[in-house]
Amino acid sequence: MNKGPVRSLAVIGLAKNVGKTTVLCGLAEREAAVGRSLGILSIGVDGEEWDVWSLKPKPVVMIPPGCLVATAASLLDERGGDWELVESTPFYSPLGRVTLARARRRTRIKLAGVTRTEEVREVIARLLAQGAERVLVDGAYDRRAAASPWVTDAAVCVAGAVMAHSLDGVMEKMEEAIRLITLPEAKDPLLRSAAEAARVGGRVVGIRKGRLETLPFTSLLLADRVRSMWTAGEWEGLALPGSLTDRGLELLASAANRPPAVVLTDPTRSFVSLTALRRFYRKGGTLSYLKGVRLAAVAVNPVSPDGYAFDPEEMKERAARICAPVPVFDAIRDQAEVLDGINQCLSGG
Amino acid sequence: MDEETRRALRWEEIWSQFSPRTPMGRRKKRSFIPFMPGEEAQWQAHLATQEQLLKAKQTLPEAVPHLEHHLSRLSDPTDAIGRLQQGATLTVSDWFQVKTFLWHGWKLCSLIVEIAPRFPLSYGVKAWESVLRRLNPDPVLTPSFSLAASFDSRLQKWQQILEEAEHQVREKKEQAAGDVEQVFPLQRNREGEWVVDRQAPHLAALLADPRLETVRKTPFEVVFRPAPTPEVKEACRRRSEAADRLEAVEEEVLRHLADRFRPQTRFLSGAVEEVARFDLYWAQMRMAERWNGTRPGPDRRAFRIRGGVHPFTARSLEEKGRSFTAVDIEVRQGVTGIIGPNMGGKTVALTTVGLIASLGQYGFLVPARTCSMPLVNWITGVIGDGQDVQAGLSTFGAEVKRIAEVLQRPSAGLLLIDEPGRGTHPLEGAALSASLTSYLAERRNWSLQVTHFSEVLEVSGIQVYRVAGLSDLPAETAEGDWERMLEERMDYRLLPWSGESIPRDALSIAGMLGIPPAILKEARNRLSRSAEKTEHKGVGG
Repeated sequence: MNKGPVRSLAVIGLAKNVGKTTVLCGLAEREAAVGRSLGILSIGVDGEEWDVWSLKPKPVVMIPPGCLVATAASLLDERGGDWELVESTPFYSPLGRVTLARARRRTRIKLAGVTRTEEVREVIARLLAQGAERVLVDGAYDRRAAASPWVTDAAVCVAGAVMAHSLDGVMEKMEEAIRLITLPEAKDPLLRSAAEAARVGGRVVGIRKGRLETLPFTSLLLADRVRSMWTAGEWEGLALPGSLTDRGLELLASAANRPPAVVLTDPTRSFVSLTALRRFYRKGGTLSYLKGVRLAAVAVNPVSPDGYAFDPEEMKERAARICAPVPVFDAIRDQAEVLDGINQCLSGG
Repeated sequence: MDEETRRALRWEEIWSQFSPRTPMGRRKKRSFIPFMPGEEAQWQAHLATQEQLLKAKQTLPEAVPHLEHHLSRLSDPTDAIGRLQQGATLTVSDWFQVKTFLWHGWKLCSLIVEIAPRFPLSYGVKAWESVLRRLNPDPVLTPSFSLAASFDSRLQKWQQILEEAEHQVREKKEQAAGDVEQVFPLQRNREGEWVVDRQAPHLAALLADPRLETVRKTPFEVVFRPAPTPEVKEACRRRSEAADRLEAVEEEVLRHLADRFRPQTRFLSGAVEEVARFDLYWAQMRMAERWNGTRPGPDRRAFRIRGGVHPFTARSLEEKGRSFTAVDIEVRQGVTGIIGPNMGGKTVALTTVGLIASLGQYGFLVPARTCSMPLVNWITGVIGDGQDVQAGLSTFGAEVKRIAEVLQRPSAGLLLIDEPGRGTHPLEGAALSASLTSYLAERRNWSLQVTHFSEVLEVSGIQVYRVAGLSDLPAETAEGDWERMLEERMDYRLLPWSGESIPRDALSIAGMLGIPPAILKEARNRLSRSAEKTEHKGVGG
């Protein structure tokens, strides 16, 4: 896991309408206030006037002067005088070619999303090359990829009241997400080798009798083939190149043998529930990652756009207990110093 | 060249790897046509330019990454040019696209002048720079574009007025909020709002105070912001007015820019064409680099190829650990035949000649040690299984139909035929093949055909090559890698044939491929009996 200064930071919402853009703008504003040059881009299905999931108008992002953005050229034209266009990329959003631009004054913009992970990596690199000291990636709800440690150095997760109708419900969901994101990196060299081989080769890699064996499938979706292979030998470890779901975990746990040590390339590939994972651990299995996400902070928003709210102090306190030692903040209620503290941590390592 | 010929020559593989870097280069590639008879001078000049680029690339390799960087970053301003010509104004991003083209085109032009000074350019570095400066009013040239103050002094004026107005708004708002915070124990958050707990003792007073307005209420808190004072309202009005004026000036600047730049569209169109032309040259040169290409010279009489290679066939063989035997051949007007054992590389030689001729005609440096060739009106291959199921034609039917079509062509071209007449009764096939050869021998076409029929060799006026063939025949029952075994014993070279007897190797090869000895023995007996009975049959297996 990256422990040095954070050059790219993903802001990801744990659900729709949790207030991700508010957090992003808050972080950007404080970065600009201390004179750090920023780059901002979005990943996902953005680019429409309306949010495709909630059908609510998409929020604009407030951009401080000097800040770089990557978005569709047509969106920059809406306030053309506010921008210095610096570079065209070969990538396209639904609204046209993604272009890098620097704000000439304080302005606002809609971010048209870059859709593919490798494109995000490339755009981040270009923003850094254009002088951004840190790049903030606005990760759409359906695109965990923004937080992938192969894409960004660290992530801020945003949890909001909209996630459940009770504070207990929100905390439960938040805990589940945070626990899964912060599971440890694999330490065993053999397990790490298996995970690396799975990542590079795109095939499931097993460990049996201390040796790596590349298996003839890419995921656990082909349950019958996996089961027959599984019961045929005693596997100590299993590295998956793709995602893991509850069904996959149950499949591995249902065999008579002891469940294996499972390793995924990174936390964005984990789609298991905490309940299923606990059951898996009780049977002797483990889950770890080749590369973990550096969770820089968790932001909480006690107000739901659906018209209800929780006690802000209580929500923040309970979230802090769950997330410790990861700092928790409230982008609306906390004073600027709190965000400055988080930004400072990102710079200092 | 028709689709079947392209398929037989693996032309699509060549074409898909021929990759110009720029959008205009890719567009020009779609209308890329071969040189035709009568264009020999242009053809040779085109090839000479590629040779020059190849040499320049080898002489100044350090400049190449820069040149390719600028090529890959060139944007296509064609749409913007069209709109300018129609009298439209352009947006900031349109102008950025035009400037990106000019910036990278200028850099590219400088590099071309440096590494290939003889490359024919319509516009010099100064012409590019002069047009670029129209979008870059500041003395220092940069690749970015904005409505900089240098375009129009009013931009700066209204920008300053707007900034001052914004400052006034902030100050008036600060003053209004400060008044409230002097009375109540409040501190604004990052959004400039006061979040007040429902239990706060001063909540009722806050709710009643006209200097505050409520943003939202929750069961736990009420969020306030300062109500706009008359001073704040006036400052906001001034800010809005300044923003409107600035926007109006920006629109005017964009209009004037379009009017001033419109005369440059002729340069831009020419520059787009020039970039596309260079891009194609460069892409052709990069292709030729893969096969160490050589310049085909003009030759009105014959295709003369020494050390010819089919790059894709050569690569396929290399992947199997085998090597390609270069083709040496001369194909004159009339008929040239190739005879030899099965699996002796006759069809490979045929397709190699076809590919080299096609590449040459499209202005590529060709994969051969030396080459001279005529420009022809067409190149057609009748090669491989040409069954036309849709037309209800068998292999023989499809082949004959294609040959019939070729014979009707009034102009001369290169005709490549693989074993004509093989798909029907041997007697009839041989007769047809020989008479076709006799007919073609009198024509102006350059016909190259592979045959097994001895009747064909009896036609006067044709020249024939034979595959050197097998030496040291292995035991027919030998086990192992038959491909390797065959290759080790097969001499794939083409040698001029002057009537000497040709060894028959088909049965030996069949043995190597696993046909049982008993069957081979019976085949040999039949062959002997047949030879005694009839004067007929083939050569070379």
